[in-house]
Amino acid sequence: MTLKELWTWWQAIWFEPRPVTPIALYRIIFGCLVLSFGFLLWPDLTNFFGEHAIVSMATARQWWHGPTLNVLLLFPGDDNTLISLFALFMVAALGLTVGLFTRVSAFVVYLGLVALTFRNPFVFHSGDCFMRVASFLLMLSPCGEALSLDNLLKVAISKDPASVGRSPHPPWAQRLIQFNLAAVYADAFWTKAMSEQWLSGLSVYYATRLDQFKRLPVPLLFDHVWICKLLSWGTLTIELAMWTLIWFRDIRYWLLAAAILFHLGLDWAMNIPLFQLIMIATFVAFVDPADLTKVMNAIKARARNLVGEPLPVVVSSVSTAGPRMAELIRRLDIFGLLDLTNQACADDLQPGVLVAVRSGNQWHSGLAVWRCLAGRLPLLWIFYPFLQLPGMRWLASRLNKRPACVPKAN
Amino acid sequence: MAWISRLKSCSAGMRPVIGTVAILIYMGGILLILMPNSPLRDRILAPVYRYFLALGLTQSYAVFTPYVATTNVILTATVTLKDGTTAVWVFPRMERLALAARGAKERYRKWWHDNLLQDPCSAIRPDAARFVARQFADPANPPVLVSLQSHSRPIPPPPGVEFDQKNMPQPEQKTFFVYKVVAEDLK
Repeated sequence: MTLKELWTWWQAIWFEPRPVTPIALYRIIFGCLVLSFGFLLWPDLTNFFGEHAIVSMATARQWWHGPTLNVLLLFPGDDNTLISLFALFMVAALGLTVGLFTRVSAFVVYLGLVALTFRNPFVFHSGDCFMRVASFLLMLSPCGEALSLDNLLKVAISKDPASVGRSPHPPWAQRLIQFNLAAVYADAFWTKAMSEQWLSGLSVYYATRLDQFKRLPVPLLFDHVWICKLLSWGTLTIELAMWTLIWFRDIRYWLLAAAILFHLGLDWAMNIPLFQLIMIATFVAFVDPADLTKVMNAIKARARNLVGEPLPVVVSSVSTAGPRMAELIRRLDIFGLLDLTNQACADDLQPGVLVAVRSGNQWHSGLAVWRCLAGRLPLLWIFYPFLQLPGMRWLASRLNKRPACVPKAN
Repeated sequence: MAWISRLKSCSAGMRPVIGTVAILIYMGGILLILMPNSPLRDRILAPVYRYFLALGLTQSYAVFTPYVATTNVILTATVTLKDGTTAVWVFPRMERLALAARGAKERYRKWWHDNLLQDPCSAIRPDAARFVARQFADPANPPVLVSLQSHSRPIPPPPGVEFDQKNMPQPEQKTFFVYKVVAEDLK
């Protein structure tokens, strides 16, 4: 391989644009994990990070030798300020999950995770550490370019709504997340591989007898030394494979499946909140975008089998709002439960509203459309109760006051 | 405005080079941070370490390493009040909590089990003692002394595994930190 070929290969790996769906999906799962992290911290927030916490701000500042990006130092150290900032952090985590102002949300989440770590590093485990690093990389990634509210907002104002969020991006941030995950396993492996206890196979025996870590019972399994030994060596094998063999596409998914089982097993037996889920979530970064599409198509087919025939929906293309509305509905329909047509008014269609759906043998417009869609599309379920409120009919009629058409009633 | 377009095309051409340098610094920094300590590693890492630290990118994933603890430990604090009476405060014990509470309270275990008990983290012991003292803050009878005790109980080795009977650790109770409480600690 010449230097030029090496450079071309390197550029292809890091900078050749690729679909952003894996990193966008990771963003959603990651956001949910940050929210869970926040909910778990909330009851003891002031005990961990407050004015009279288990570790004082002065001690924490002395612990770190050098300047730190601790935004908490910019604010008064009282509990009310802490709670307000934490609420902002949670709002940002929600924004990251749904992809609203994604870059800013990711930045705030990153700042929050870093600040909490610098405020009291003595309550965080390795999973939290990885979450902090991943938030830094997510902040730099195009994770809001797909599966996000930002995208829907862009669709709503774009002149070419179909093309919004379809362009690929350089995957370097996703690659760095992959690299960092591999580094996690490499570190875990090497520190264990140099330990006599791990090599002798007795580590799992002792780990499963530490009262502080016990979670759900595992009857009989850990009573046999030979099983404990197998599990110890199995741990080493998986940790070795996760930074060496993971780069080979042919066996990657088998390896990820084994690692998922390994982490779920740990999650069952050991009380280390969120750690295993953080690791499993990051496996999404290793999934090929084409394979994600295949999985999504299989889920769509299954959903159609479950729900029945797609619901016919017609969106007028007479006005500029039509194509935007059609694209919005198309993107909200993640399970392919609609049969969406975006068409101009034809002779057999009477002038009317922007969107129409056929339920039973009748075409509906106005509020009925939104109720139908909210009942059908899981992403809109949350709005369904609100659509039953008084005043919604008026709002729906305002939405439909555009040059448009609906099919003539059958 | 030709110079702007020239600058743009030039910067676009430089982007992969700049990106490559940033990626290599990141990857190199992370690998060095995760490597075992050595003078050479420290010397190479020195120019970038402060930036990694400041940005919260330092990391360690040595879970259950280099060896898994072979003793079960609980931690208590004995609080002596002004009138001479004593009270015992038990640091949260996960095995005694309901399953649902363990997730939220696990960070207390991380604090006392993995840090407070370890000598390299002795700097946090006064804060822990003050925290315990505040749990007993009563103006009429304030705490005056807090002592932290560890109670360790060795896990018996697995049957059939040879071990050195003489060096087998015994159950042990040890006071490892004593703190005199002052009035400011209780505010």
